[in-house]
Amino acid sequence: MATSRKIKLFLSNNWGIFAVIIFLGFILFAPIYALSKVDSYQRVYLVSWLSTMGLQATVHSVIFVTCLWWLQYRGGFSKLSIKRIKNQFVNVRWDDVIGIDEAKQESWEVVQLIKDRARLLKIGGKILRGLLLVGPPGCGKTMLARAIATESNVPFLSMSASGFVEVYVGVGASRVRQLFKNARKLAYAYGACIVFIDELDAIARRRVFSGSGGSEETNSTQNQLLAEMDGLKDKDHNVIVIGATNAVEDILDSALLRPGRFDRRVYVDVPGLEGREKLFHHYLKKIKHDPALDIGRLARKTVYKSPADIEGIIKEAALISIRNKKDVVDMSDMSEAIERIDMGIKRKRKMTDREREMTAYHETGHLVVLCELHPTDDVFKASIILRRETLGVVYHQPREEIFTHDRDRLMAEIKVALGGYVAEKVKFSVTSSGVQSDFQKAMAVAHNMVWRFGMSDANMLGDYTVIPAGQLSDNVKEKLNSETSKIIQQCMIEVEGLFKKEWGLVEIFAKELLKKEELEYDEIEKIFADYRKTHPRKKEG
Amino acid sequence: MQGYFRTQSWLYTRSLTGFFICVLFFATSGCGRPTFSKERLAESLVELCERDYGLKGVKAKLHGNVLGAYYSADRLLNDNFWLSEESSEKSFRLITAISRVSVSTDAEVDFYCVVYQDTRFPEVELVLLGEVDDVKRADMWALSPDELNARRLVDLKASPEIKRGEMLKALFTKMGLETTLADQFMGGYLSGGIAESIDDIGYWNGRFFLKEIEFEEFLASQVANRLRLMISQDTRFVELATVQVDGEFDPNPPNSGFTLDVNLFTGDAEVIDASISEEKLRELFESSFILIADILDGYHFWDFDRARIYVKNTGTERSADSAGLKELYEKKREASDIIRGK
Repeated sequence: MATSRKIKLFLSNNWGIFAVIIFLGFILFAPIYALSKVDSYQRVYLVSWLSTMGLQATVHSVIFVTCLWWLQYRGGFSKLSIKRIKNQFVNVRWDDVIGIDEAKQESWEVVQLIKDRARLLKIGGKILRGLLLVGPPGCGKTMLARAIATESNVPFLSMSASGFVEVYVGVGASRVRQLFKNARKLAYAYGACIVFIDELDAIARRRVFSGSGGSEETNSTQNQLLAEMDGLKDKDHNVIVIGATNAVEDILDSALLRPGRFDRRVYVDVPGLEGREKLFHHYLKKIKHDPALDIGRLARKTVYKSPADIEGIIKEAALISIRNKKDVVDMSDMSEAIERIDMGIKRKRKMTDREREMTAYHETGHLVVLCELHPTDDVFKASIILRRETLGVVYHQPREEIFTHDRDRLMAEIKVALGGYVAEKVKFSVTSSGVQSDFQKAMAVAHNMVWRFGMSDANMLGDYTVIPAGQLSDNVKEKLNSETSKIIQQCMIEVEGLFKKEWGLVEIFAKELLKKEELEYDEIEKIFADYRKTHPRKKEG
Repeated sequence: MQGYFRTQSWLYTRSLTGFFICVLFFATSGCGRPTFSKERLAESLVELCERDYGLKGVKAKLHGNVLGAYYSADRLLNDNFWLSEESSEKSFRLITAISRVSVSTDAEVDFYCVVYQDTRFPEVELVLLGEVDDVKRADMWALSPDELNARRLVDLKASPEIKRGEMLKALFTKMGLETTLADQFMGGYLSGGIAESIDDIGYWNGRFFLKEIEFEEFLASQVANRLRLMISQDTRFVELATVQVDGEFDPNPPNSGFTLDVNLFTGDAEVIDASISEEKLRELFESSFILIADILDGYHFWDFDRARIYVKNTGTERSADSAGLKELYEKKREASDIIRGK
């Protein structure tokens, strides 16, 4: 009785062990039993085959464990291909950054802060954590970041934000962790480290919190970036993150822009006239060029062009010069390069004589209105050679950067656009379909003037486009549209008046254009000067 | 409490010991023992056929390195003197059974032989002879089922013993002796149960006629068999309706090797000694030596001096040495380069 109770107690205490023994027994005996039921030859064959299973299992286990280890501890798919770029290899000096002086000035402070980090820490200050370079593409953001690294003389880790993006979930965040882990190590060893993330908008766009989870991966990458940038504050690692983006700040997530993260923003804008001149000087040094090149005119001709555009123009000019078997790049090569980039390559297709004549008068219409009525723009070229989808073009640029448009300029834009139509009408009494894009432009400007800028004579102030169309009364819409038409009509009358007075000039230009197909700035100037000698401008009133 | 711990320790010790004894017992029991022992091999085959394959009346015998099985049934053969559809299934089952027994025994069985006889025609029998190693190779996927079939010798023949009996009776009649004496003499002669060649293997009058088979002898017969099939099936030799090939292996150096005697017949069974052209003969020899090289490489058997083909009709003889045949198989040389002879 006592023994059976002891056995029961023993079994109840050790049922787990017995279960394991029974299980082991089963998995051991089952194959033995099964093997005992087959022919001896088959048994030997199976046992021989099964005996290799141990080796196979070992090999598979080793492969599996290695993969797991690689995924877990060696970065796995998240492995970054970034390498530390040594300062001597960055090789961009401060003076190499040209044409973006304001951005340079702001960034210089960052360089100073990094350089004097010891002094800054001594007085209890904290080093800047993030610098965001915002601006249009090709303006030198990357170059500026490289120059900051060179001047600060600290390690520089560079990668594109798109490098964080991967199809695998969690890889982006893992890569961010890895990048910052490397940066911290370098900062620990060298005192500071710059992490440069190019095209930051790839991971820094405003986070979307949707139920579908489609954008969860980008969110998690960005969250990790935020966490890492916060983490930098807690420890004394001087890791400075420089982000560069073309995106406007509205697109970026506000969490990234708050102090402590990208707490300083530098706007890297297109260079001004002086900047462009410097850029032309800088890049022209690298090629053989005509010393008589008018860099001032080139700079004027390339308003709103970025440093990358200017570099591209010079490269293109060098190619054109080689194609034309010249030893040096001259003004015509530069001019052709600019036109090629802005207007496209000339096409060899021929127009009929009638089309050609109409195009010449059409372009002359634009040209004369531009020269006579446009307050801000200079004409650099007129052409009746086919380019892209256009039959002709009048290439003009503002004399200087203009950031706002006044009524006169907008009216002038409309008049210039209508110039082609009026010229065709006066000369041929009929007009062509080539006026469509001009009308489009004229209507768009006039519409904006009335609907958005409050520039109508009817005293209708305000931006009517912010009001939903359904909430605007038909009466208001009618009035606005009528004002738009009025502007167009007014401009038309003015252009017609101009042509009535200066039709002789139109004829001269049109004939010259038909003869030469293209008129350059100098030729246009000369025709004007000659014409004015015989037809002096009459004083108004 | 002490008693409880003592009991627990005792139970632990006994449980673990019992567990390991069981493991050892099961692990060792039956692992090294062959399923079909040498002593009861023939009986085991008969039992297996009956138990696992539903074949009753199978007779079996082990003679030297050959395991034989005999199976007879009514309507086993169809009108073409070949296995009918139903019989093919039975034949397959018998071959499977004999293969299983041949590979899972401690007896040194190198060949297996199956004799089928239709009770309606006891004068003819279908004999199948195969090598046990080929079964193992096929089992390991080292041999395709087609190749396994090609390696088996299958022959429908009149029992050689009947022929001998008839000859003996004719002789006794010629000598003026009573034919009953011939039957008695024949009975004594047949009681030996030993065949002289592979062609003599068979079953007659309740007795197996088997012989110990040398591998080379089997190979020679196989080469002859496959050569015969090749010539009769190749469209280039379509005019040769009947072909007879005999194969032998001579083990004595320096002329050790295979000798294949070929007899070519036209459709009306006349000898065509003059009608076969030189060109056709050349093609025949080249194709034959290519086939021989293929077969021999299948067994990696190159330990002989030469292979010789003799066409009896034309008296033409060609030979090729072992090295040449190997190079022919490896495509290092052309058949025309290795063939020697007049």
